[in-house]
This record gives sequence, C-alpha cells and structure tokens, in this order.
Amino acid sequence: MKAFLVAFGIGVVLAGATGAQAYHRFWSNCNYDAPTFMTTMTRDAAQDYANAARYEGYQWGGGCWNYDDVDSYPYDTPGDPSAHGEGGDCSGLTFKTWRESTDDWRDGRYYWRALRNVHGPYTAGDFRNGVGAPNHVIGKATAGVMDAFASSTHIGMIFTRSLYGGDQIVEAKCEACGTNIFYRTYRSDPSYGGVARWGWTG
Amino acid sequence: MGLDRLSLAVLLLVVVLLAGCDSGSDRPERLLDGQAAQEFRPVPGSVIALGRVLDGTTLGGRFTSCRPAGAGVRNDAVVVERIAVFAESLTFADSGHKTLYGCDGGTDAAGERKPPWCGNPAGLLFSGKLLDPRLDVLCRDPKGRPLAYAWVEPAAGVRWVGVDQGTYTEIYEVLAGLPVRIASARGVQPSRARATFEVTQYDSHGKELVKGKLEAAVAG
Amino acid sequence: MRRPGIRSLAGGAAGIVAGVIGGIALTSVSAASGPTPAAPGIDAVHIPPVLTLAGEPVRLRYAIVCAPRDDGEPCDGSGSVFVRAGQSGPFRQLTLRRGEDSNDGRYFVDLPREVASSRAGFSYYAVLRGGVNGAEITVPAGGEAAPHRSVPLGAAAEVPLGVHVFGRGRAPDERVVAAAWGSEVGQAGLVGSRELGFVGPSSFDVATDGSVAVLDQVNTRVERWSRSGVKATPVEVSGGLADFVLEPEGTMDVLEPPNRVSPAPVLRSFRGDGTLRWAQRLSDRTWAKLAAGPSGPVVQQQPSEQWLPVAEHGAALSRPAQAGHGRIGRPFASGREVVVERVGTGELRLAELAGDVVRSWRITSATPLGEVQLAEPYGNHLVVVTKTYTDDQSEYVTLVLDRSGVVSSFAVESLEWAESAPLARFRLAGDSLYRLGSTRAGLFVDRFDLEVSR
Repeated sequence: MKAFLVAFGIGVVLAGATGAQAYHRFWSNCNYDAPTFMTTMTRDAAQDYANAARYEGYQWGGGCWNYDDVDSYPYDTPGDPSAHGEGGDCSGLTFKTWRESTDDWRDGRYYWRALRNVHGPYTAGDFRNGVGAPNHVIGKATAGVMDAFASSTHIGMIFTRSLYGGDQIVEAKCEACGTNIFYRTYRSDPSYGGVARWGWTG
Repeated sequence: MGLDRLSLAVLLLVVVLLAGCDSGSDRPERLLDGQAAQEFRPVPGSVIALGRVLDGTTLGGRFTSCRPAGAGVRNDAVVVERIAVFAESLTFADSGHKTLYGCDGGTDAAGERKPPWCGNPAGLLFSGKLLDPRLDVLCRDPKGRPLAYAWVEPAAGVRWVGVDQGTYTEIYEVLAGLPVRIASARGVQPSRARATFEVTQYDSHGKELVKGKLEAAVAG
Repeated sequence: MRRPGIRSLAGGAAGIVAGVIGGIALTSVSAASGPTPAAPGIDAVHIPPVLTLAGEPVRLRYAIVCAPRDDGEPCDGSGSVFVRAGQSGPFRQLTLRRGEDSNDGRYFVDLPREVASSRAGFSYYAVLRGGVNGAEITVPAGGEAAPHRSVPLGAAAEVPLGVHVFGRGRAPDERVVAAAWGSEVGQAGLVGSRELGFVGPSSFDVATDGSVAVLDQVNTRVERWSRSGVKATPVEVSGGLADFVLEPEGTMDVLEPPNRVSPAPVLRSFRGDGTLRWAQRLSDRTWAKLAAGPSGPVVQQQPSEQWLPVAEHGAALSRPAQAGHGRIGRPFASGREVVVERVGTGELRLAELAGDVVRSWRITSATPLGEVQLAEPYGNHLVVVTKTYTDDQSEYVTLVLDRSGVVSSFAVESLEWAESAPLARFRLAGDSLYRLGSTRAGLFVDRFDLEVSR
C-alpha cells in the first residue's frame, strides 16, 4: 500500500509535468473537429470572421484562437511552429477565413470554428500563384473586399479600400505585430499579386 | 504418385519462396527519368538522387515554366535540378539572394498545374540561410501518394543528405551552396499540412554527422 | 537491503499508473477550462465621398462588422445616416437599407438629390447597430460634432495622365543620406524574420535646417544627418513600423502601430533629447499617416477616414476630443486643408479648402493609381506624389500643380528593399522633395529639387 501511494504520487507528478507543459501551449485548448460544409459565403461574413481574429495573436504554422481579444502567448519564439501559441499565421488565417478544404482539389465552403486547429495546405506563395481549386489570381487594380494580396512570403486580406488609395488589410503579420487591421500599400507593390477565392455568394 | 505430388509441392514452394525473395529487394533500380539508380557505397542499399547545377538557360522550358515572374530571378540563374526515384525539383535564388525559390515535381491533385511542376515553394534567406524548410504537401507521385517536399540546410561539413524512404535511403548531394530539396512519401499528413522526414547528413566520406527527424509544417 | 516483493512491485506499478491517469484527468480539466470567448465589438467600414462631381448621384455604403455567427451568415445589422445639405444646421435621419451584395458595404442609402447636389456640399454621420447584443458604433467617431463632409469638386482642373511609361525615373539631385545596415551610428537597423521579411527604418522627416532625421526603430533611436555629421538620439519605441514627424520646435512624434500587447495604435511624443513627454492612444483602430498640423500632430485614421488631431499645443488629446475635431482634409499652417480622394482604379480628386473649395483637380490615369504618398501646398502650387502600378511594375509620379493643371512632373523609381511605414516615403521640405528608400546594401534618402518657383 505504501509503495502504491508513493508511486501514485510520482505518477501524478509525472503526468502533471507533461500536463503542465501541454497546458502552457495554447493548442491544448484547441480541437480537430470536422468543418461545417456551407452553401453560402459572403464577403461581409468573411470580414466578421477575420475581424474577430484581431488581437488573438500570431502563430507561425497556426492555428487556432479564442475570442477573448488577448494574445495568450505574446512572447512565443517567432517563427517556431512548436511554440503552439494562439493565433494563425498569414496563410492560415486566410485559409480559415476563406472556408477552404484541407484537400486542395475541393472548392467547396468549409466553415472552421476559431478553436479548430488547422492551417491548411497553402503557403502565402501558393496563394499568390492561385494554387488550389478554391483560389485564383486576379488583377490587383480590381481586387475588392476580402480578396487578398500575396507575395512569395506573406498574404493579407483586403478589409476595405481607403481614401488615400491604400487599403486596410486584415492580416496575421508577425509574432510581435499580432493579428490586426493595418493600413498597407500592397496593392501597388510589385512583389504582391492579387488573389481571390472562388464562390462568394454575396 | 506420392513422389510426384511431393515434387510438385516442392516446386511450387520453391517458386513461392523465390518470388518472395525477389520482392524482398526493394531498392529501386531506376530514377524517375528512367536512369539507373546509383548506390552511395557508405550507405548500403541507398539510391543517389541525380543532382545537377545548371543555369536556367540550359534548362529551358523546365525552368521557364517554373521561374516566378517579376521576382528578380534571372533567365540564367544558377539552378540545382534534382531527380529522385519518385520526385524531382528545382532550387534557385533571386539575383539579390533575398529569396529562395523552387519547383516541386509531381501531379497536382487539383488538376490545375501542368506537369512536371505542382508546387512552387519560396523562402526568405537570412545571411544566405533559410529559417524554415518550406514544406509542400500539394503534390502526388505517379502512384497517387501524397508527397512532401522540404528544404534542408546542411550542417557544416555535410556533403550528402540522406532521407529514409522505408526500404532504402535516398541520398542527395549538397550543391551550389543552396539548401537541399528533399522529398518523401512517408510520414506525410496532408490533412494536417505536416510531414516528418528521417534525415541523416553525411560528410564526403559517408560518415554520419547528423541524424534525426525533420518535422515540418506548412506555414507562412 | 531486502529485495522488494512481488506485491510491492505490483502495488508500485499500479500506483504509478493510477497516478498518471489521475494527473492527466486533472490536467485535462484545467486545460479545458481556458479563457471563455468574449464577443468582439462591432466595427464598421465606410469610404466617404469627400469630393463630388456635379450631378453625381451619391449612395452611401456601409459594412457592419460584428462577431462571426455560428451559421456562417453575415452580421445582422441596421443603422441610420444623419445627413444635411451644407455644413451646418439640423440633420435629417435616413434609414439604411440592406442589400444583396457586400462588396462595397451591404448597407446603403441613396441621398436625396437636393442634398447630394447642394452647392455647399453635405455633411453626415451614421449610427450603426449589429450583433446579438445590438452594439452600436458611430461613424465617423465624432458623430454630430465632427461629421463627414463632402464638398463639390467644382471647376476642377482636369489632368489626364494617360498611360504611364515605366523606366524613366528621374535621378536624384543629391543622395543626402546613405547608411549601410547595422547598429553603429551612421548605420540603419535591419531586422529579418521568416514571418516579417525585412524591415528597415520606417519613416523620416526633414528639419527646417535641412537635416534629415530617420526613425531607426530597429535600433530604438532617431538618427539625424546634417552637414556636420550624424547624431543618434535613443527613443523608447516598440520597433514596429511607425510613422514619424519632427515638430518645428524639436519635438519628435512617433506613431506606433498595434502590436501583440498593445492592440491599439499609440502616438508617443518625445523631447529633442529622446525623453518621453506623453503617449496617447488614437481615437480609431487604424492609421494611415502622421503629419505635423498647425497646432500639433494630426493623423489620418480609420474607420473615420478623417484627419484627427492627437495633440494641441503640446498637450495630448483624449480619444473623444480627437474624434470631436475630425476633418476631411489635412490641415496646414496657412489655415487651409488639402482633401484627397482616390476613386476607382485610376482617378485622383484633390481640393484645397479654405472653408469652401479654393481650387481643385481631377487627375485621371489609364495606368492604375495606387496610394497618395503626399499632397501638400507649395507656394502657389500643390505637390502630389502618387504611385502608379501594373501587376508587376510600379513607380511614383510627382506632379507640381497650379490652378490650371500640371506645371511640372517627374517619375521616381520605386526602391523599397526593406519594408517601411506605408505613407512615409516622401517629405516636402523647402524647395525639394525627399524620398526614403532602401536596397540590399542599406538605407538612403534622396533629394529632388522641384525647380519651380513658388
């Protein structure tokens, strides 16, 4: 009995040690639930979704987030996918906002809840090249609300145009920057191309 | 009569055993382009992926169909071409050596991209080094299996990079001072956009210098 | 020592297993009970038609942005626009209608013709509601106290630019700053990451004595180049892509972007020696540009799409005070303001106001126009710098305008190897235009003399 109790204590400590590490990572709050297939996808619903990801942090290779308007792990090591912090990265945020499938040959609309941990198969460069059934390249001059501008290494979605000719871009920019709406001039930057999602319904 | 049956049974058993012996040698004999697969002697049963340093002009259409427009990549850029057993790739940098680009070979599951290229990875270079392997899981091999491609930054002194493909090790030569684009059909999780490669790095004599897992996720 | 018996070993093993299971159960409970989701606030999008053409019908469109719905449908919103002809008097309430398309804003109202075509223009603000809790937002933030103003462009000088020919950029008259990447005095900081790419000094300004001050935020300092050398002044900044302005008496203002721990933008005001005077949060969530106004720093902010003062006479203004003084044009010491509106893909409308429109221009281009980097009075002229671009090329076009049109123009090559603040690449000082650029080798500031008599 004594051996059992001592060992029980050791076992709790061992599990606690592993568990504490797991809890410290935001991903332990997230899930791998199936997405919801949707028949509609409007640009303003996408604005709602991306806007709600603001303040939730940034995670390279991420991801998932809650809606508490706080980056739970703001000082994670930049560019480290094993940090498992809160937030998406630029291409992950776009993938989820655009309701895309993890199968690049599907172009249907798949709604991912915020806490669903998924990045999707596309990098920013893939979006820039219009890779995948849901994505296609468009001319930058006519890119509209919730279309995106993508370079080889970054993508941001157009929240709206702006009076001075730039755009308000909703983007997961970097670990230190977080996810937010920033004024950008990607539209006129030759390193950025226009990319859009097929299948908006309004 | 019994002896005849016994002889037939033995003959059949021998045939089965021989067939089993033949399929037990899973080292591929050919690369993707049909060339004979060479072995890296220090690693028995290995296959050396073809690696060539060419310029874009020499590669012609293979490069022009891959080269990103407006990215500052010259027509005559230095290109590392690799052809392995079921995968092929190109690796090159822009003229300012700010960004590394590539093309990954295979079939595009979405059916949009013409062969041979189905993926176009890119990664920023910091002091000439990549900080991320730029995983690509969008391509399929001729058998329809999901492929994973990634860049490996070779450690100091490394001349060859080996990837465990299960029944053999695929060996890539370090060329042109650029990261090495490797491929695998093992350890690929397309739905999670992740892959794990078993990588060994060797010096010029085939001595193992670094061995371990490369765990990569699609990011950025 | 007595060898442990079978029973002890079994008991120990069972204990470890039970302990691990129990520990995991405890951990799972604590992991599952993470922060509870809070509904994000309501936001809005609206592009005001600040400069209208005669006879042009006006449809005001708004996007109402609220918490995402579980069914994936857009926000269920509503709202009203309060509008009046002219710039004074009572407002009239018009209810927004909900449209089928959300590309330019789902909610809209068509202004009555007598309002839209008023010779004194019109002014308005909107109160929008949305989400499950019916949260409200007023756009612009100042509401009735500082509504949107729209003025007729009037007899604008037409400036057709035609198709832009790239590759004919003017060489600078002098490279006044050339700094290699690094952290020594006289160098410029560069930071690179796999997420952010390359970021260099984000902004600069030119002092009245002609010295060039660069915000080297990577090295948390302002560096000042003058004929006598380079001087560095440390400043406590976040390191993000900030805008920067030198006030005439030497105060340095740094407009910081949101970041991981401060999700709202902040203006920091520093004395000439780099010590902090104050930090003030902006009224709105997003900024485009910082400038020195007649009474203090002013910022072009979104979603209001107005220039809001952040301080007056050295004292920071609270967020409501900022909002209550919003205006459509950037104010200048002359008492005038310059209004800018980029329309469609290739049109730029400009007006100089002294109350009403004093003079105006309508610039059209067959090649798409991008952002307006600068639009400032220069004696009897107006200097405008705007980007023109195709999908794989871009250049800046500089126009010196007088009342009848273009007096001079030239192109400037776009050289931005490292990222900087979006509308902080040009400054007008004295008789010259200054440009911040970067290459792989480092940072530079070029001077282009305007060669036009004021």
